[in-house]
Amino acid sequence: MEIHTQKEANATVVAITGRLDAVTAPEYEKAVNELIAGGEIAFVIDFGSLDYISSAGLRGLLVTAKQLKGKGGQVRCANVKGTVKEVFDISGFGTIFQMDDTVAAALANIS
Amino acid sequence: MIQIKHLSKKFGELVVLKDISIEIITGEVIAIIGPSGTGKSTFLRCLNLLDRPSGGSITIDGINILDAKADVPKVRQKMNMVFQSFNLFSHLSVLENLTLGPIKLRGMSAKDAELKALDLLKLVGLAEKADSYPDELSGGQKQRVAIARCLAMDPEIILFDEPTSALDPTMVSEVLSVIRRLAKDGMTMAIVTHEMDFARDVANRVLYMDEGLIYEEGTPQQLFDNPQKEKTRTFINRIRSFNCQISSPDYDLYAMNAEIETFCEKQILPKKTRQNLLLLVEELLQIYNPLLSTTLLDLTIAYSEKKESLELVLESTGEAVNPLDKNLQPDELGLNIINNLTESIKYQRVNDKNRVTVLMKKTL
Amino acid sequence: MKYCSLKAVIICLVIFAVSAGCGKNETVITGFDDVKNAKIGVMTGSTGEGVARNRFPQAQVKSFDDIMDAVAAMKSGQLDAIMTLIPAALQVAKKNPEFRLLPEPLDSEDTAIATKKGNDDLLAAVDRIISDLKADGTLADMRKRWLKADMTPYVEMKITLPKEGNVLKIGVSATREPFSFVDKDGRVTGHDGELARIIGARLGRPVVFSDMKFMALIPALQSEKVDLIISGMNITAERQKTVNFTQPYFANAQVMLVKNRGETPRIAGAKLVSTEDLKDKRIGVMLGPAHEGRAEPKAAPVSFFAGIANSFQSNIIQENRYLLLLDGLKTTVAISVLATLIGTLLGALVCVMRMSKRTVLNLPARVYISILRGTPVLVLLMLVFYVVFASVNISPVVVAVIAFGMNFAAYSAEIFRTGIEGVDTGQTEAGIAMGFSKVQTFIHIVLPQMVRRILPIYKGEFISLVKMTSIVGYIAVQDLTKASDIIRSRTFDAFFPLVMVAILYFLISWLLMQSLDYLERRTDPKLKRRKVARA
Repeated sequence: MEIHTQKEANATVVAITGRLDAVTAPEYEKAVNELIAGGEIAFVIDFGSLDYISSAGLRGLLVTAKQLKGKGGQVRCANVKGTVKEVFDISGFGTIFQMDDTVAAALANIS
Repeated sequence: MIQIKHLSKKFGELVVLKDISIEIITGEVIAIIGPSGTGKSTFLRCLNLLDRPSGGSITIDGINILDAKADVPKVRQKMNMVFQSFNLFSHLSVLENLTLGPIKLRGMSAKDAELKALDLLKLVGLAEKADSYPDELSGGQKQRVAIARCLAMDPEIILFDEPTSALDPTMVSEVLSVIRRLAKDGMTMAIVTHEMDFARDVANRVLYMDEGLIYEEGTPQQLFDNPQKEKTRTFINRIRSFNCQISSPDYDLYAMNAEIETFCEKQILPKKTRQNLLLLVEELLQIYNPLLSTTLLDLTIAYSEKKESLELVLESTGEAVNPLDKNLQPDELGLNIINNLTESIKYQRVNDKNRVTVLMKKTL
Repeated sequence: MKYCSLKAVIICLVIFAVSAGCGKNETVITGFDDVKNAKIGVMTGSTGEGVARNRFPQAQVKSFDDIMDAVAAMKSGQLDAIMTLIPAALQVAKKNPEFRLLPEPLDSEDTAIATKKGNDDLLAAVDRIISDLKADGTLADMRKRWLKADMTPYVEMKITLPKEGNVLKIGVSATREPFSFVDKDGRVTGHDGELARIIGARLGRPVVFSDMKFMALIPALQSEKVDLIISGMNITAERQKTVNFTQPYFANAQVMLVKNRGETPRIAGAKLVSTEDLKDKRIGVMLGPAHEGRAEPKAAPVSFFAGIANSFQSNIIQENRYLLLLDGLKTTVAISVLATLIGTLLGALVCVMRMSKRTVLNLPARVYISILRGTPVLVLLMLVFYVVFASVNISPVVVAVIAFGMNFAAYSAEIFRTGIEGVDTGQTEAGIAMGFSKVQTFIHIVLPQMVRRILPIYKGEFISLVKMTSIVGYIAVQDLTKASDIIRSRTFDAFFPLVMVAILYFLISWLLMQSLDYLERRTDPKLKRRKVARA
């Protein structure tokens, strides 16, 4: 897994490449926690290059989302598709998170 | 064409082949299967005397080749061999690999030998590689050249010693299709292989070797679908399953994924099925994870070709409890995914172990 | 490019080594008292070695095989004094104005001809000839002509030797002017060379010289490689145990050669009087002109390049010395190439035996390999020459080829073995399975792959063989190194002959390496195709 972050005007875009599973989820949490600790409260997670996600990965997303909620921040998911979308759907995750088709749309929807 | 009677082979004290008798008829394709170390390769190597048999007789066209007077090199020209490790002559070009034997052994002119070699290379689809050197070819290409090299000697029978075992899974089919084509053309062949589908497809007769004997033989249908003996049955089933033991929460997920992928490739499972299987295994293990410091988990994945179904059996030690019980989970994420991927989940207490049998949904 | 810079480095190193000795503060020696704690050079196996250790127990005594090595050492400041026999000492002083002789001889010794014990007829015959030569004044005349202190050319007596007949083999160490040295035509000459020819003529036998290291002379005599030693050899009790001596033909003495500091006269000829012959006025007369000659300052300090030009003139051009180098070069190349061929063939045989499963074959091969690899090649060379071929009339060049070939065989056998074992057994199996016999499989399949595999190591062994041949001088072979020794023994100049020889060795290695590189390229299977592609 690789994580690329990019600061936009109203949010930070976090692009995840590869696999988000039991092995890599802690890395993801750590990276996002560091950003939150640095004062970021609005995030767009870009799933465009993610090949695989398991419940462990979903849990990682959930943990960071809860943290942000406590700080009055928000997170939106963009580019969720293919296998990753299926896992979102079957786990019931699709309804918990706010989803957008593109990163641009997600940025526009950040309030 | 070849009669083998009471063939035996010992390496020092170790008896590898006990007593093998069989007749190979012209045009027959014989697949030899069986667990490793039961003498399949040795049997093949005894046939062309790469290993000299300790006893018995091998009669080819009426001549006992174990006779001291027999012209062994001459006999070998009639039954060439394809090796697991290709063994192309690395100092010669592909074309020279094919012409060396005919020129030096059969007195063919260089020109005739080259024309013939080019024809054979066309047959295996490698005419454009004639001037390449073995180290510039992929494994599959090397093996196809090796087959062409055999054919260049106009053999009456070709012995294949696990021709695809050293190949990447992606290259297996190109080699097998060449062998299939030879079978169609009526070439007599004896093939030691682990490719069960291939053996079933291409062979007229399958020999299951075990304990240094031809333990059971028959048509592919008889042997694969209705094996008569217990050992044969176990082998046929085991070849279709993947098994591993996990004893620590720090198991190597990626190494296991790789093994499961290999298993899937062998069974020629579609990509989607593979992905689902990997996700299912990860989710199951994720649920077992808190228990792994104290229990031992035995995971078996079995594929049934007939039913086209994948079955996962998880057996764990410890007190009698269903590890997948909803009430034991911190959230429903994992279970949701598992339920969505499976047809049925069964819990049983067997032999002081918790057995969970999961049948995976078919992917469309 | 790489080779050019390498050459430059070598030359610089040699220049540095030569010049390093200059300007060190050295002990100034004016008499034997000053020598007590000095560093004294002596000739290996000479009587001087014993004398030096007895007379100067405190001193550091260092042994040299040849006088020119000791002279080079003293020039570079590693020695304070050299003990040697008077003819050699005179010669050094004559050619090196910075050296002088201490006036007092250390002992007196008698120089005689040695024969093998038991060869009494020859001993008696030669002894009679010496008596005659003494009586008719020939010996005195020879001393006058050969032991002279000026630089005028030697006058050699005309001697007609029979062309046919039982050859008289003379052992000589021809790096000891004026007693024995090699002239511009490559002949052994000097006082002893002439004496040997006179004896040959009087015995009616043709004469052949074997030029070898001094310490190799007695072993050569004992193993009947030579019939007589005529090489300024002095009679000692020790030598008399192993060989017989004729009556003395020359009264000799060990003297000490030291650096000239200018404050004492060069040679106090008057005091050189302790032995019979030295009392002889003729010697005094000889010493006189030498003294005068050297009183003149030799030359103003010359520039570095002029010095090089001078050295080139005296070491290479003068007396056609380059011919010596050329002959030596031929010998070195011949020995190297022949030894490699023999070693390769023998090595192949040993390799076959070594790889055999039968102990009868494989054990001797193992023993051969471990013994040969564990024996210094010099020791092997001497063993073959003095023991194996003792009493056999065999050319030392052939002996060298055999010894180096045997040594090379041990290494090449192992190289071949690793090469063969390195070829995957699958290759052999594929050949056999195709219907080739074992031999055919080896020739068509294993051998070509093995050759390619071992060539780089083989090249290395070959080059080290070329360089190792530089020790053949020990058994009287005149190779490249020996040629430089001969030149140095005449000119007492370390720099030029050594650099010359270093460059020549480098060139031989380089050329031979190029030819092996060519072979390596030829055996590269892909080359053919690349050529075709380019065309």
